[in-house]
Amino acid sequence: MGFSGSHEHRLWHSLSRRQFLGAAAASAGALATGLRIPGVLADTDNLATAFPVPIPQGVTVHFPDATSVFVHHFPTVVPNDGLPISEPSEITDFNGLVGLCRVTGKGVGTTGPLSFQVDNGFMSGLYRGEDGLMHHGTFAFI
Amino acid sequence: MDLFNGAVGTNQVHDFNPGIRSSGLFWTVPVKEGALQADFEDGRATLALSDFDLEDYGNLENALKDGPEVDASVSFNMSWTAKGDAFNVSDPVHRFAGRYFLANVDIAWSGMEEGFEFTSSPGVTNVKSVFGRERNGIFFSDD
Repeated sequence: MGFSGSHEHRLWHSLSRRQFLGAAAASAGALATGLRIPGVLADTDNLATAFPVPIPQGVTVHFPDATSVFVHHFPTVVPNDGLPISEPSEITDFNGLVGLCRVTGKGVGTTGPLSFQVDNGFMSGLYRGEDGLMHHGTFAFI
Repeated sequence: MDLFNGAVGTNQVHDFNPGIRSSGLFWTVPVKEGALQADFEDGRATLALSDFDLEDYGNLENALKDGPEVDASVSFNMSWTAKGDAFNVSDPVHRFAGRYFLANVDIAWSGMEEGFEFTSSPGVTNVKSVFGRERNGIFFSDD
């Protein structure tokens, strides 16, 4: 399920255009609680300096051609003492704010009327990066 | 962000997403801190991106198999608004816990690529939306 080499390169190139390697580390210590700091104190241009690690669990998606792919997303709901929700975060070793949604609607494309489904979300807070270190960052699930 | 020529779930024609990282990180990318405005106590959050570069894989199967894609971009402004009271969840199997709201989400969005543009119409149907304050993995505690 991983990227082909060229695809991964393209993603990194794309992130580079957005100055992915910006300086966010300075805010990490101040955000040790995993909660957002007031906007007046935050550098709103900050980007996370390391990618997070995906949640270990997920679902296996089967296709008509008998192939399947494991996706680190939306693991099976386990009964719990609150309302049953699936893990809404895409990233593990995370302490912060998370949001996830599924909405549907309609719109107009170049080709005419179309229907849409959007499964978007966010994660913002303290997390362990691929480098094994703790960071603070904000991520969009798109 | 999926588009269908017909009812949702049938005849998918566009699948905008940023790709799956080699680690398995699923359609998740860093964004500027200012893209998110969230206040858990107030039960509100907004996420907004403009001209965000990603890819169009055409359909979900092709996206999950990392098939051919074309350069695209999306813009969106979406808001979570809590409905009802916050509730606690603790899941020792998947090792996450937190305090969450179910939410209504509204979104206005557009997508574009060479030769194609899409703009959403006002009004959405919420299937299931949630936001909250969470700790998982090494931060999980079942206390």
